[in-house]
Amino acid sequence: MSMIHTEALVRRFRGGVIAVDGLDLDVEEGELFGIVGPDGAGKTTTLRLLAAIMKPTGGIATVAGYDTVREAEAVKREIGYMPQQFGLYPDLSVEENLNFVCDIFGLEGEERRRRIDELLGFAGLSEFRKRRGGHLSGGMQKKLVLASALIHKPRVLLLDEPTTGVDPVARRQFWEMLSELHSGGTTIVVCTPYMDEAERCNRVGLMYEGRMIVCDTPAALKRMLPGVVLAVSVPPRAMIDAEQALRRLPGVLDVQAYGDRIHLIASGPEIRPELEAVLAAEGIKLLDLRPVPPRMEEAFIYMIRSRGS
Amino acid sequence: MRTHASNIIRHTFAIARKEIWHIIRDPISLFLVGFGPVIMLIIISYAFAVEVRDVPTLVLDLDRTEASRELIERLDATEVLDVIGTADDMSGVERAMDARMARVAVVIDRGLEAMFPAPSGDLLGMVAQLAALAQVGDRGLPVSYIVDGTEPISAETAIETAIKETNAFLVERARALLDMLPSSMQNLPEVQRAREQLETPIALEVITHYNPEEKTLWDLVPAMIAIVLTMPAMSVATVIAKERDQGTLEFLVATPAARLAILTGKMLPYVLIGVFNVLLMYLAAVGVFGLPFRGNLLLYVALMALYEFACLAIGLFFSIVIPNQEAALWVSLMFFLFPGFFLSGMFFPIVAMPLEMRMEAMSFPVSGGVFISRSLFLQGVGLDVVWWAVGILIYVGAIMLALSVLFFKKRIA
Amino acid sequence: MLNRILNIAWKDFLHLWHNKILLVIVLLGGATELTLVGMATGAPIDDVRTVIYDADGSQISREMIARFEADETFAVTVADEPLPDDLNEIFTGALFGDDYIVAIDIPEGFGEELRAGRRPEVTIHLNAISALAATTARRKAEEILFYYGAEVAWPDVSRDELEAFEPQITVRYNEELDRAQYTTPSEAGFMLYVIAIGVAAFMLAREREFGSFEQLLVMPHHPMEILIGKAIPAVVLGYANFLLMLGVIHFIFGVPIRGSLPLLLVLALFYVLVELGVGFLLALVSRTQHQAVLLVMLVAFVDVAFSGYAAPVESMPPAMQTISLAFPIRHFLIILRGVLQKGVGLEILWPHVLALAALGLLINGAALLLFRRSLASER
Repeated sequence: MSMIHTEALVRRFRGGVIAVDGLDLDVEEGELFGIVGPDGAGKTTTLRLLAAIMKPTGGIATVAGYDTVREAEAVKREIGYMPQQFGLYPDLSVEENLNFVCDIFGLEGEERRRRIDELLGFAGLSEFRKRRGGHLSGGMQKKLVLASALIHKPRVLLLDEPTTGVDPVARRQFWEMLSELHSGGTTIVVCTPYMDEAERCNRVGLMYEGRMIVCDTPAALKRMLPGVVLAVSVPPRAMIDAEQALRRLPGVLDVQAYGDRIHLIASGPEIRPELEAVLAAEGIKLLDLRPVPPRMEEAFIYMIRSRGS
Repeated sequence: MRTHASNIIRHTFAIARKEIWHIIRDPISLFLVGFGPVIMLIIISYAFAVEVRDVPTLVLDLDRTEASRELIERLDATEVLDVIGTADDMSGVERAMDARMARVAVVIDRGLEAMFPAPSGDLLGMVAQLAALAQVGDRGLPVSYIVDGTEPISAETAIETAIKETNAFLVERARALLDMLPSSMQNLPEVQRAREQLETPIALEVITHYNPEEKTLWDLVPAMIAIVLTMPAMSVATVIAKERDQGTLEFLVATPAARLAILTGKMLPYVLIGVFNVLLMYLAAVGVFGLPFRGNLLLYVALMALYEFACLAIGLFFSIVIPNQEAALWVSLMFFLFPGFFLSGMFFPIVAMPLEMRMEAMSFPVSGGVFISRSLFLQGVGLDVVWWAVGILIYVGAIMLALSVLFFKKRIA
Repeated sequence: MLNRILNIAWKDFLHLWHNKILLVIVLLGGATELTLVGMATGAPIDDVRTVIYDADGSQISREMIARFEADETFAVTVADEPLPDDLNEIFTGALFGDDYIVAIDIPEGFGEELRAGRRPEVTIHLNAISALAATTARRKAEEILFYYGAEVAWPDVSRDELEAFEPQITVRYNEELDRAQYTTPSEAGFMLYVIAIGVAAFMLAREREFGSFEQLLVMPHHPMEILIGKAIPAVVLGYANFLLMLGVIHFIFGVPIRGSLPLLLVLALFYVLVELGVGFLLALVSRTQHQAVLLVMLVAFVDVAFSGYAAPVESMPPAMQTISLAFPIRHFLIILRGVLQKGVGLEILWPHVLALAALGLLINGAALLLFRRSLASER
């Protein structure tokens, strides 16, 4: 039996917006599962449905074997949930915030002390015990929320964009914590807007308009991209013209500018002569052109674009 | 394996403890919640319970006699009226009244002294004149008062004083004249009758219970205790909205803490604060204002805690059904404070209303709290008398808590 | 500059618009409150529960009871057993099932003695759990007993003659001594500014609590512009409330407008501007909306105490009377009552207008100073 299982899960909001539209999902025990997708794709709603804090309009979801509607409170004992917002009390200190969660889960005495020490060490917050939640940096706040979500050793962790607004160093530290938990056997579902984070997951699901349009390992997802990705270098001032010109080229599936280069997804490498011709017609000098390995982001953009058309 | 009930209790205390941390963390709120009520009690009681006194009174004396001066002195000697000066004519009176310099004007027309017979000459004629003092005929008494009615309660007191003092002045002066008659005349039926008419026909003995001097302060202070105890309820009205605003509600509802535990846990510290306030205010009432406390203090504290609970349950309900802090604050402000002032018998004596109307007013919990507070303070009664108000408080508290639990979804809408 | 000010004001209006509950309360709260207050205080003190024991049972004593019954102030129950020694039993409802406010004991032989002019004694017990009810009942009972007693004891003196013996009383401005005419203008003056400072305090405290204050700081606004922008919604809402309340007190509670309405409208606007500074001061010392509301309440209480809102200022201790001069609401209530009920104008009210102007400069100056300082510290 999967740790997380949903069948035809639907959540409709007042006003008719369908945030989750027939979601079928299975996450196995011990998996690190990533959910990516554009804003408004239904990621947060999905996590809330799994955390049993929102009622589905239709379908079923079970987490750790418990039904999220009928056995909501049992689900809550098995999960650690990290909402997108800070989620802890800015006027309470780090220690008090953790003590409060211990109070809720009935951790007392020596056991509580040890658990808090352990988690503070794990989160690298040992020196900040007395600091108020509101005075922590963004990254530390996230680590504190993660620590408090771990107090009761949940079997499933549900994390909603846990590193949004966090600096790269803190992000890396945060993911190191997740890797450690993952290797300890915790099942983790994480929503993230960052593709590099998605690549660290066992499996990644792409949500779009309330549906999971693909769901596989990062490597397999990247293989789904047809054709090749070409990196085109042109003089900086010609970037915009070049991008527009390339977009008009038949056989080009997508064009993205990355700094001084343009990545285009083409049906095959044979597009090269046409490409050179188009740029030359615009009077743009081609500095460099070479195939590059596809990135996750490109795979997703392609999938969303091709769905849209 | 823990039982369900012990889980709820544990969660209640966990939330209560956290709530106490929040309160302690915010010194301004801590001060206002902890000491605000007693400060307000003292300020309001000093200001509102002012017994009507020293109403500025202007004199227009056209008689200018010994009698008129005596009457003016008499009026000035009262607590209620304070003679601030004299006017030369009616237009002076008008101006002073318009500018609110004077709120009462006494106009003594010519002929006050002349009402009283000279104590010489025709003694029997004088007696007849005194006996007929009441029958001043179409001329009427040459004393009149003009009263500013914009503040009716003090105006009524001023009017009562003016009439009483004028009557007493006339009666005493007449009696003094009768006393001057030779003893041979004292037993004459005419003299007897004249004396009789100077008295009220019925000897009235008024015994005022609980508050012998009819001091507003005495019924105001116990009422105010109940009214200012709604302050913690107003604070509670923001607690859920605050968690929602700062995003912690989402974390909280994703824990296995039961709804009842979350809600009672949030109320508990405020009930304790309420009890602390009750004790402080009891000390202020007895110590600062010299009120008697005739009931059982333990019972009083317990019932006030119950009352606080009922108010908190309402505040909590507002907090749940109203989606943001500001609106929750305004609604509770409007609900508790302002009607509390008026329906709680401060300006209008609810206790004197017909019973059916009272039941309605009482279902507003502040009225129940005021009733209990007053009854225990002044009458010294116990549960045998206030049981029905206690019943209403329990009912309101339980219903509001139940509704709160019902409306408080452990789900994100 | 005007653009930027309106921009800030518009933002706050939008915030209110999105918060419908708050909007309704802020718009209708004042008039609703005022109506409640007027209804509660305008009702006469009627039907005071009274129990009478008549030991005499004569024609005269029965007639006297009938006088009490005929009077609206009393709701009379005739007891069929003597009043107990412990009056608590009557006043708490233990004996006759109702908690009476007045208990009257008519002695045996009352009628005969009264007719003979021998001044029989009647005892009235008052339950002063409400001093106001007890006082009202006592005054009325004294009146009934005097006139009825005179009627029986002095049959040759007519009621007119008795009344001529009393001084003539003329009540001015509020001829019927209607308490609603007193409380409703008080409430209007009070709510006008509570709404204004409440809105001002909340709006500013809200920015600080949600951190959007920082955003305001980085915008190219002069501090004055921010303050004025924040003031506009408060003034508009407070003033709209005042107009509504003025309608209610005039048309529903029958308070006359004897003076110049335009003058009153101008002075009311002036008054809101004076009080606005209080709202800003409160917002600047509080960090959260919660603190702001507690402070607004505290200030409102203190204002009620010092304003002559409920008790006449002259009756306060002299020190408090002097302090009360520093409260703008005291001056405004005098202006409000002066224009409405007395029909006077600036020729009489000018000292209070001057006082308001002075207080306004002081309060708003302090608010601006504190605002500058808090800007400096946040930067």
